[in-house]
Amino acid sequence: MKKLLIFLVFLALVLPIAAQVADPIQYEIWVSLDPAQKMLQGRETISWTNTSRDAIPDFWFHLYWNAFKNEKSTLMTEALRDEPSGTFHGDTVVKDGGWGWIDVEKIGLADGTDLTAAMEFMTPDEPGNRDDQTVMRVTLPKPLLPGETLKLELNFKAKVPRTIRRSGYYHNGYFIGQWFPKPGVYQEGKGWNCHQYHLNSEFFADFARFKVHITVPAAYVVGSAGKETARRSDSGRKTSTYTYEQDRIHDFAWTADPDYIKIERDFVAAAEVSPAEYREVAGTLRLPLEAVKLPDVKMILLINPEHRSQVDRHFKALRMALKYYGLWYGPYPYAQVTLVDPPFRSGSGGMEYQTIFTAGTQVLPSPQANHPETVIVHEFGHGYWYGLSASNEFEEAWLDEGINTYSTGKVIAKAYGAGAIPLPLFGIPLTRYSGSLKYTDLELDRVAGIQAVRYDPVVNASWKFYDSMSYALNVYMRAGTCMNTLENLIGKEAMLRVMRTFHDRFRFKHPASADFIATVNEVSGRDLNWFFDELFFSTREWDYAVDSVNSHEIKTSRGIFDGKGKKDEVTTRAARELDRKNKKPVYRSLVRIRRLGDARPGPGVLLKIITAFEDGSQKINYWDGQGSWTEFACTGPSKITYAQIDPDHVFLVDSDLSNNSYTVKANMAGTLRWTGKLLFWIQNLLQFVSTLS
Amino acid sequence: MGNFKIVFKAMVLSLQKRRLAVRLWAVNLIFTFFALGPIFFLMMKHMSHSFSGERALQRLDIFWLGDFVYRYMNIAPALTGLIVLAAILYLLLSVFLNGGVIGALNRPEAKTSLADFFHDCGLYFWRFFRLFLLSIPVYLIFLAIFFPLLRVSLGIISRRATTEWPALIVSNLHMLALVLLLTVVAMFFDYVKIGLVTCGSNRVLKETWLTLKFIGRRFFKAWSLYLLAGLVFVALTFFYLEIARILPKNRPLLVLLVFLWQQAYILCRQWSKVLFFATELEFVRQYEKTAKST
Repeated sequence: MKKLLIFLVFLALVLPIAAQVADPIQYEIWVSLDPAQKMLQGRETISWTNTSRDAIPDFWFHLYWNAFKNEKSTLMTEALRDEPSGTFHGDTVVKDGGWGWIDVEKIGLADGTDLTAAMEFMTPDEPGNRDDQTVMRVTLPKPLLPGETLKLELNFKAKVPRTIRRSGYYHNGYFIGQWFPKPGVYQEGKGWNCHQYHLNSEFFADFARFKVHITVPAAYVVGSAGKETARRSDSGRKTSTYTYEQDRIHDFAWTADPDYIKIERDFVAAAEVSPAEYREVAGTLRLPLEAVKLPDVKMILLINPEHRSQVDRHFKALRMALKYYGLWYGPYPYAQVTLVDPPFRSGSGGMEYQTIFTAGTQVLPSPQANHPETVIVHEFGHGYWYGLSASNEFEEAWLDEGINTYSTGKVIAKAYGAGAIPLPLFGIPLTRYSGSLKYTDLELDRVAGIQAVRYDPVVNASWKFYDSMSYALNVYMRAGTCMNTLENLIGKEAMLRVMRTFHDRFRFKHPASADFIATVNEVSGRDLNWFFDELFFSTREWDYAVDSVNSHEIKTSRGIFDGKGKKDEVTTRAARELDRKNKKPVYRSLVRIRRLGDARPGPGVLLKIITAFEDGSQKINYWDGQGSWTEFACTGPSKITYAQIDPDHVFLVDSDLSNNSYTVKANMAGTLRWTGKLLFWIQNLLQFVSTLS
Repeated sequence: MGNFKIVFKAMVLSLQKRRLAVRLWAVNLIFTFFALGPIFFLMMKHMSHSFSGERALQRLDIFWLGDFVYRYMNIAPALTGLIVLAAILYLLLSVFLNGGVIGALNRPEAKTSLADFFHDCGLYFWRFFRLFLLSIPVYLIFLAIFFPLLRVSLGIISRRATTEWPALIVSNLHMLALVLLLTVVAMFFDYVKIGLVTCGSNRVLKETWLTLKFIGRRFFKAWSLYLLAGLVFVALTFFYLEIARILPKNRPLLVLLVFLWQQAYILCRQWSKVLFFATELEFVRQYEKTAKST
C-alpha cells in the first residue's frame, strides 16, 4: 500500500512534467536590445514536431513587424484606406525614422543545411500582392513526415518601430510584441494557416515551450511573459540578460523601461474565495469542489512612477479577474501573471499576451469610474479567451473579443457594479458633477452593438469587415450583446455551464465557432443553431414593436335583428338608452405587434407579450414572431393600460427597446427631464456663441 | 479707483437694472424653445408612450439613448444644421440686443422701459452689426494665426515630454491661452461698443481706432478688470454645479425644481453678461471723469 502511495505521488509529480516536455513546439530565443539604434538582434531555435498525418513540404512564418516597413504593406494599405490621413486607432502616425521591420538574415537546419535561399514572401490573403512581407515560406529540402521533428535555427534582426499596433518604443520605453519569426499553425489536411498581418487582425499560433534570453542595458527594468529563471549582468557592457521560461503558451511579449516600478504581490486563493463561494460555484457548475479550487498566483505589476498612487487599484482589479475568471471558467494555470502599466506614449496599452498584458491609466483617474479596472479585467481575461482557448483571431475574432467582452462585463458587474462616466475636462475627471450618470458594460455594449448590425455579420474574417468601426462594434460589442442575449435565453446557470464546458474542453486547443455552437446546444439541451444563424452569421436586425394599443367599450348594436317571427329594429336612441343603463361596461381591447427587423426566433421560441389592464389584471400571450405582424384581442371589464413585448428584456439585441412597450397614458416626465436638460445645454451653447457678438 | 471698486459699482448698477438680465433670459429661453422644438417632438414620439420614458425619469437610460441614436442617426446632419442655424441667428439677435443693454446701462434713470430698451436696440444695431463684421476677421486672425502659433510652440514641449504630467499641463496651458486670447478680443470689441454708445458716434472704424488707443494705454488694468468680472461668472457656475449635483431628479416635481434651478443659472449668466458691460462702462466713465477733472 505504501509503495502504491509512493508510486502515485511519483506519478503526480512526473506526469505534469512529462506533459510539459511533450509540447510539440519549443523555442529558444536570444535577443538583445540596442536602444541607441532601436534595434533587436536575435537568434532563434525552433523544434517543431509534425503531429499531423501529412507530409509537410514547407514551413511558414509570420514576420509581423514587416507590416510597419512601408506604406505598401497590407496593414498600411488597409489603414490608409480607412483613414487617408495616416492615423488609425489613435496610434501615432509613422514618421521618418519610425518604421519597423524584421529581416531573417539566415535560416537553416540544425545539421547545418542552409535554407536561406529557400525563403520567399507569401501573400495568402491577397494573391498577386508582392509588397506585403508579413508571411514567409521556407521550402524544406525534403517533406517533414508525420511524427518527425524539424529543428530550425534562425538569425534575425529587427528595427523597433515607433509604437504602432501596440508594439514599439517611445523615449526609453519599449513594448515588444509579435517580434520574432513565428510559425503559423499547421492544420491537418488544410495546410498552413498563416495569414498576413491586417489592420484589424490579431494573431493565431500554436502552444509551445519558450525559453527566451533578453539582453538590455543594465538600468532597464524588464517584464516578460513567463517566469524569470536566471539573470546575469555584464559589467563591461553594462547590460543585463534575463532568462524567462514558460510552457504551454503561444505568444511571447516583453517590455523594458528604466522608469518602471516593479511590485510583486500574491493572489492567495484562500483569502480571496470563501468556502461558501466555492460551494456555490461547484453546485452551479455541477463539478466536484476540488475542480473549482483556485491556485495561488504571483502577481507582478510594472507601473509608471506617475501612477504609483494607483497600485492598489491595479492589484485589486487583477485579483478580481483572477478570482472570477478562475471560478467561472477554470483555474489560472500559470504560476505568475505580469500586469504592465505601459510606458507613456508607447501606445501599447490595453493589449493581451499570455502571462503578460498591458492596461493603461491616467495621472488623474476618476475614483467613481471603472477605469482602469475594466481594461485590466478585459486584458487579463484574454488570458482565457485567446490565451488558453486559443481561437483563430484572424478568422473568428468574436471568439476571443466577443466572449471576453461578455466575460469582462460579468466580472466588472460582480466586483464593482455600474461605473460613472468620467467626462474629463482638460484631463480632469468631472465625476463630482457627473457621478450620477452611471453605466454598466452590458448597457454600453448593447448601445454600441446595435449600431453595427447592418454592416457585417459578427462571424467574419477580420480583414473582410466594412471598416475598423464595423469590426470593433461587431466582434466586441455586438458579439457581447448576443452573448448576454444567449444567457437570458438559456438562463444564467446554464450559460455558466456552457462557458465552463467550452473552456474546459478547448483549453490549450484551437476552438472554432462551430465548437462553441455545439457546446451551447449540448449543454443547454436545445437546438440553438437558429440563434447563431440569425445573430452571428447574418446582418439581420432584430426589432419587434408594440405598434398600437386600444380599448373601446362594446356598445349595443344597432340595426334590424331577427326576432320571433318578426324583425326588430334597435334604434340609435334605444341603443344609447341601453348603454346608459348598463352599469358594467365591457371593453374590447386590441394589441398589435409588428416585426420591424428581418431576424426571427427559431423553432419553439415564443415571444412573450404582456398586456396590463386598469383593474390591475394582466394577460400574457405568446407569438412565434414569424409573420410581419400579429394582434391579440380580448374583451373584459377593464381598459388596457399598456402592452409590452419581451418584458424580461431577453432579446437585448433588439435594436429599439423603446418600441417594445406602449403605454396608453403618455408619460411626459422622462421626456421633459431630458429635453429640459438639452434645453439648458443649448441655452448655454447659445450664450457662449453670443460672446462673439 | 481700484478694479475691485469698479466691479462693485458695476454690480450695483447691473442689479439696479436687473430687468435687463430678465429680458435677455426671456429672449434666450424663447429662442431655445423654438430651436429645440423638432428634437423635443422626436423625443416625445420616441419616449412618451414607452417605458423608456419612465426609466429616463429615474436615470440616464443608456438603452434609450442607443435606441434614439440608432433610429435617428440619418437625420443627425439635419439636427446639427438646425443647431448651427440657430446659433447664427442667435448671434445676430445678440448683436441687436447688445445695443439695448449698453444703452440702458448708459441711461441715468434706474429703470428702462421695454420701449426704450428696444429703441436702443434699433438705434445701435447697424453700428454694432458693422462692428460685428469687423470683429470676424480679428477673431479669425486670432484663431487661425495666434492659436496655431501657440500650439506649435507649446507642442515642442509636449512632443518632448517623456511623462504624462508635462503633456497634460501643456495641453491645459494651450486651452487656457485660447480662452485668454479670446477674452482679449471680446473685451476690446466690448469697449468699442461702449464707446459707440457713450460718444453717440456713428463711425465704427474711428471708434475702433480710438478704443485701440484707449485700451493700449491701460491694457493690463482693463484686462484684469475683465478677468475679475469673469471670475464672478466662474464662481456662479461652481455654485450652480454644487447645488445641481445634490438635487434629486427622479420625480416629476423635482424635474421642475431642477428646471427652475437651471433657468436661475441662465438668468445669472445673463446678469454676468450685463455685469461685463457695466464693468467696462464704469471703467470708461472713471477715465472720462479723470480727463474732465484734469
